[in-house]
Amino acid sequence: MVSLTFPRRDEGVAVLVRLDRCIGCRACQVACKEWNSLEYRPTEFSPTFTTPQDLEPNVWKVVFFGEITREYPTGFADPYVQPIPFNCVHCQTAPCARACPVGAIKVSDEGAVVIEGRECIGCGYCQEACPYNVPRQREDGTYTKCTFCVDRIQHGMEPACVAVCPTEVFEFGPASQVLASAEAERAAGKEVYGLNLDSYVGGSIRWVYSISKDKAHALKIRLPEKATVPFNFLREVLNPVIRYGVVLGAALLAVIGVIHEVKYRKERVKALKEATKEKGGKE
Amino acid sequence: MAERERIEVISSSYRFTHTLNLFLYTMLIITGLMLFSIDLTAWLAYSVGSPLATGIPTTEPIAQGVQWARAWHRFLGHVWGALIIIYPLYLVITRRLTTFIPLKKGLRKQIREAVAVSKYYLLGKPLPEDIANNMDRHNILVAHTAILLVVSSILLSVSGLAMVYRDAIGLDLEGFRLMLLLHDVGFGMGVLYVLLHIFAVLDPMNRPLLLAMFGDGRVSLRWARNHMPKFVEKFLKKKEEEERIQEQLHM
Repeated sequence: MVSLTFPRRDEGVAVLVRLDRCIGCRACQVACKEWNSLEYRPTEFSPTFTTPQDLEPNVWKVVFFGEITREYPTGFADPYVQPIPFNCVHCQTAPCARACPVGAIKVSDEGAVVIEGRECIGCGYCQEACPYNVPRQREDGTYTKCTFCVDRIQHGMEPACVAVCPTEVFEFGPASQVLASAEAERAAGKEVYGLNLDSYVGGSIRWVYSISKDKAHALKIRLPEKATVPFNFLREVLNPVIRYGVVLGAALLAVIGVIHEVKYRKERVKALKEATKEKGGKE
Repeated sequence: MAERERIEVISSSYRFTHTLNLFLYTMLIITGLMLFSIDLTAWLAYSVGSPLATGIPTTEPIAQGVQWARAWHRFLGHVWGALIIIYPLYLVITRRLTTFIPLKKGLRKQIREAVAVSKYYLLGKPLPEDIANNMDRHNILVAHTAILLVVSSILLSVSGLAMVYRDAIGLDLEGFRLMLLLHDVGFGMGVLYVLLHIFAVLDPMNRPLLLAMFGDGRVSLRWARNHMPKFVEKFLKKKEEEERIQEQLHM
């Protein structure tokens, strides 16, 4: 129940997000809410187009808008607003699933990383382990996040956000095919995020992003260069050190203890014999 | 004083606190292990959680078991925290904290004693005469391992409290991550202390002390003279002083 098996990188499904095609209509954000019956709340004014400002328990997908400046070879520069549709990126070896102490985070054969709400104990270890800060806590204490629309995928459909996109930003399909498309984008001179990441996330993610080089710094708005959480990485290193260290240390000390005990008993018997001899001699 | 006489080396308050600490620490380790290493403790979480989950059809036994352990871990953590604050404070205020006395010795002496005591415990080599004759109630290794315990306790209690009251103190995600790491480090140090402590108290030469801890707190004067001569010297001096005062009062 608490064991985890991650599908190989080329197994399951994946999505290539072609950011150059995104017009920021937020249809994906709305479709996510619709399909997953996530409650709406009134939007608030903010200095950006992004609303709400970040992921929430009832907002599993947010289109972030990053204002960037594009510079042209002619010396002309213009401000540009780059939309970045963002949700859980479904890491290859999801750190959240590794961190969950009750095995409430399941990884499906398709590679979807899903929090099973009824098993969640609300410890927050998943959020702590996530380099993308995705899982959010509901009012009842449990954590939640994008499910990759695993219910749709397992019935032969695309994720809701993918299906509604009017400009075909998302290429959904078998992981091997999508990864090949991502490689082709890279070969065509695009900046690709998600193929060569840290081993902490298994080296890659299932939501791969591509964007033109001149807009590439927009990725930094929500996608960290180093897909790792140093403190949690250290915890993962420390965990086996403590576990095996305790077992080895206890075994070693037990052996030494037994040797001492045997030696002590022998010496005691010897001393007793000598004392009896002395006593007998005196008598 | 007759050699057969027994002297108190562990006070009743110390024995009570030690027993309480033993219970709380063991419970904290068991409940904490379910969060730290569920792959090793899933069987326990399942056995605890199974009856609990029977009444709640929307939950899983392991989740229930770990949730139960987590709730107890937080509660017992508070009790343990209070214990490790109150008792050392009492010891300091009443000037009864003797564990760190060996640290007053010079560093060279400390190292020499630490090496000699380690050789005794690991290789069974007898202590050099001058060290054996100067042995107080606690040896230098006890003082050193006590430092390990103090650091571990500080790490565990501070990080534990910070995580429990995360929202109240406004701890951000990065802070929570650090606290969780420090809690694990503190746990590792604590477990190391427990291992060394158990190893030392189970040594056959220390058996009278072990029996005293779980008995009346007394050891034979003969044993005490051999293992903590300096302490016995101080103890007898104090006793003589007390007897003298008593005599003066009765005169």
